[in-house]
Amino acid sequence: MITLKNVEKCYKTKAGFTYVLRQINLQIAEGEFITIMGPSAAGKSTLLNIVGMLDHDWEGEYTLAGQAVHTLKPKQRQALNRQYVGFVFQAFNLLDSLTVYENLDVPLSYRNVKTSQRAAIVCDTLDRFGIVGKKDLYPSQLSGGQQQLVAIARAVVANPKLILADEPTGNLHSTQGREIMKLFKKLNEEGATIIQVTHNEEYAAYGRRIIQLKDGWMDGEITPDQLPGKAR
Amino acid sequence: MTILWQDIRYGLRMLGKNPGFAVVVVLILAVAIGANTAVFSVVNAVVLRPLPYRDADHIVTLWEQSKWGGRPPSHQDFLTWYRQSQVFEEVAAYARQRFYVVGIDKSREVWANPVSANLLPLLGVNPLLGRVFRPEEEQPGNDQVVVLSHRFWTDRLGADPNVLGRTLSLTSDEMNRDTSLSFDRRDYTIVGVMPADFELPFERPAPFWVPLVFQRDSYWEEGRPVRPIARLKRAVTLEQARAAMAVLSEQAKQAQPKTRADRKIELDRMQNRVLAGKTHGLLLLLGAAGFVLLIACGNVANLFMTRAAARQQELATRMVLGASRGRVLQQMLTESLLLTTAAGLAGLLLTFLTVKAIVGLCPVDIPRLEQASVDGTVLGFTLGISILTGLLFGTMPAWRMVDTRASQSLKSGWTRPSITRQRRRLRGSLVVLQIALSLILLVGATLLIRSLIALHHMDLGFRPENVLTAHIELPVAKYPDGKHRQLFFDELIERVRRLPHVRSAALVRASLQLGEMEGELSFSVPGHPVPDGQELPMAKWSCISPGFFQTLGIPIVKGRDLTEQDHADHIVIDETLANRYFSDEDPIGRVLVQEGHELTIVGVARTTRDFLTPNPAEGAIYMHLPASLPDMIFLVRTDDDPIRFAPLLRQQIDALSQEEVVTRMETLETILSDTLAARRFVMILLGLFAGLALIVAMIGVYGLLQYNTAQQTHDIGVRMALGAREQDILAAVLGRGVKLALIGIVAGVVGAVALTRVLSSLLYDVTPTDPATLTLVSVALAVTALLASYLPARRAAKVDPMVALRHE
Repeated sequence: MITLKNVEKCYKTKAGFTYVLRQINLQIAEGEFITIMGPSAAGKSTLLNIVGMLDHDWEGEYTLAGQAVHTLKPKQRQALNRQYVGFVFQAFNLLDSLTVYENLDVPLSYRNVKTSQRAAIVCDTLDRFGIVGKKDLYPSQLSGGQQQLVAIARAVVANPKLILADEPTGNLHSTQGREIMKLFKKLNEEGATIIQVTHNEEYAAYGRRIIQLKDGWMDGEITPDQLPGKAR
Repeated sequence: MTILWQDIRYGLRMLGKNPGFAVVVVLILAVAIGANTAVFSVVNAVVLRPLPYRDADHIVTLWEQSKWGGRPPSHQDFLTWYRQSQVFEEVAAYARQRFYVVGIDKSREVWANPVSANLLPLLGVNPLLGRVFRPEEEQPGNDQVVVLSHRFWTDRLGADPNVLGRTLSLTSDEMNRDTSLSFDRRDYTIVGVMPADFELPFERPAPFWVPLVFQRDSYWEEGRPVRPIARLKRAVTLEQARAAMAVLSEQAKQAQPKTRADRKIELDRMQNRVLAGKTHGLLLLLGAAGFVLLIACGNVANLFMTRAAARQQELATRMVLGASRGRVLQQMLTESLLLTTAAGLAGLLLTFLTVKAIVGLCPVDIPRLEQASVDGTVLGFTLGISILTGLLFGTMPAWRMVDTRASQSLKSGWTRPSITRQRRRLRGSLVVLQIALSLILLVGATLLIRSLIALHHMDLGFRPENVLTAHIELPVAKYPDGKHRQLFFDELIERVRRLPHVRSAALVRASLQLGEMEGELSFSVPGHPVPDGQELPMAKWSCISPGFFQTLGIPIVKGRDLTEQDHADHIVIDETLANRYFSDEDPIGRVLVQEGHELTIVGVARTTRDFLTPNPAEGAIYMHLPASLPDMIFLVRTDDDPIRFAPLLRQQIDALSQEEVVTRMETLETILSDTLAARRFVMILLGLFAGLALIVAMIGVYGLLQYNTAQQTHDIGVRMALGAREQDILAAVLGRGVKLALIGIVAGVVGAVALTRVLSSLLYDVTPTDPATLTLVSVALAVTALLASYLPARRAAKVDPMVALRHE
């Protein structure tokens, strides 16, 4: 589903070019659950943003579902984003001024889904995630775990084939974190391709492959069994 | 003290860091303070300050009201009221009379006031020198005494301290309708000099006063018209006095049912009558300035709230580092005070300039206008309001935060200040209020502009272009009788008509203020009997020379123009009069009867209109009188710009008279334009205020959206990550601006419909709720709001989601 060939990203500074990603080559099949790990400033989130087509300023080749992203103009990449991608953030990034229901409605409204259909999809998603009772609450009225649950529901409401999760459990305590990871596993089993960024080995082990980044380079690829702690 | 100094330094640094904010706040507040204080200072001088007489509240003025309007009663009626009324401590009166001062400087016509002996004591004004009149001096033969004005005493008599007892030679035109006017010269003994600031109410400054003597003559059978002034008894209210005068009216009606059936005696406080019809524009402007103040306060509140909210984390950090609540508030207070003090000083400067500008722009006939100066109380009030606004809204968010939310703010808002929905709504409401008030002002200004345009396009019934007017006053010493004066004017007309570029020339009597003819006269029309108890119809009348209609371009629609051969019993009437009384017949040859004289109609002229009376209800009568009075208006129609002809005309007049007799020379178009001065004055200032209001309101819209955009950069990034396109973000921000504008416009339209009625008297050919104006202003405001919203919207749409997501 995803092919990255020699993807690189750098910033121009006074001291010259500073690379944040170097020669990233990666293939991800449809239905995979990938974990990206690495120390701070390794380029994990940058890689995720490139894959999610939020970042257009990079070099190399990137193919998503057969479409050569590197040949597309920003607007076309945005369109592809809307078609394939759902995002989950560490800080949840729910829109404070909107209710749970309205937050779920936002991605659909940007995809020109008809109002009547949107209501059905949002209600279905609320039901699926067990948050019907919270639909009229504002994000500030929810716990961290509940907020991330809503954030994931929002990421999947438009039925994306690819879910990108940037440290989705970073702001949650362990019980909430595990619940969220179980949810991702379930979504993956239902067919979604998932790429998550995490520092946590326990949650990293939910991925079938673990890509390790260091200083912008791919530092290796391991399976969950090869994780130092073998938490699972 | 060290802490305060530290706060001031820090405050100055913060303002320097954000100079745009500081400049906008200072400008907005200064404009509001300047406009309000200046307008209120003028209103205070003209309207609110009591008249300069003892217990001015208790002084009332009386007049007779009939279906033809209010008018001064006859001297006879005044004496009756004086004897019969029980509600007044004193009733006095004065009249108006034209005099010529002989022997001092050049003899010029002056208007002076014969006054009853008790008038000056009633007003509670003492003379500077000598005395006022004694009751016995109201008797014929004893009345040759005069009290001088301070100005006449200083300007004409060199402030002679021994002036009392000297004599002043005066002549007066004892106006009758005889063609050969003669002037009796009489010597008046100077008995007093009044203080510098004394003037009679309703009157132009008079050079002197003489006793009011009751005299009947063939023209004034019941004595001349007088203006009564009374002082209410202490315990008597205005309503009680009105009721008492109503009883007198009723008694008069029963005694003389034929002539007094529809007349009644009215009275009102003198201050109200002095200002009647002259303060409407000023009060309107005061309201408009108040709107500007409200808009400015709303805007400043928004700016301060925005700024304070943006500094929430900074304040939270200070508190976490150990600052007390008082200490944080002190810091905010210091900053707000620095800003509002600067605004106050700028406002003060603007006030001085604005008062001068308003006095300069104001039409000249507003009483006491020249006394307008910056009023300390008003300045204090507007400064106070503005500073309070700054302080309240500058410190309120800090107060609320330090009160309850410091730790919460650090915890949840450390990286991104959270705005509560209530605060957002409050800010939105303030912007809506500003838009609504701006719309009301804009509608008012637009209605006045449309009225002025309509007036400029009004069919006047005559052609004012290319007409030059010269006011000529002949000295009575050189031209003592009507024959000499007529010779002068006849010769002048002949000479001027022969000059190149002159189409025609004519004379008209009296002050040619358009809309104000010589006066009014009552008449009857044979075949049109007036029912018992009703007054005779009235018409305006004017004395003209042949050639008047041609010179002014007034078409004669029936019959003929007046000629040199016509005497006073031949008249031209206007179409209004002709249509009212002779709609089914030819008016030519028919007569009007005036005081027993038959006036034969020889022609019908087109009805003329002017800007003061665009829809004249009364008709007009023109009669030919020989140019035998000392002051006349000379009219010349040229085939070129009349101003270029002015030096030539002046040369001709001076050559003929051997001295300067032209007191004023201007084009007819200038005179006409001056009659629009009051409307233009209100329009200019209201337009100015509306413009200011619009700018301030749009700064409000822009500021709010800009702030929202800055605060929501992160949210915008999230939305883009969720699939939002540029146009989605653009539409969302624009939508917010347009939504606020639409709510403001709807509220403004409702307000305008309710409030623009107060403009009715200044409007012409447009209604206060004119749908076209409301639509035009609403659309213009919506478009402006859209433009004000566009920049923030554009900025929002250009947000880089990567940057925005990091903007936490």
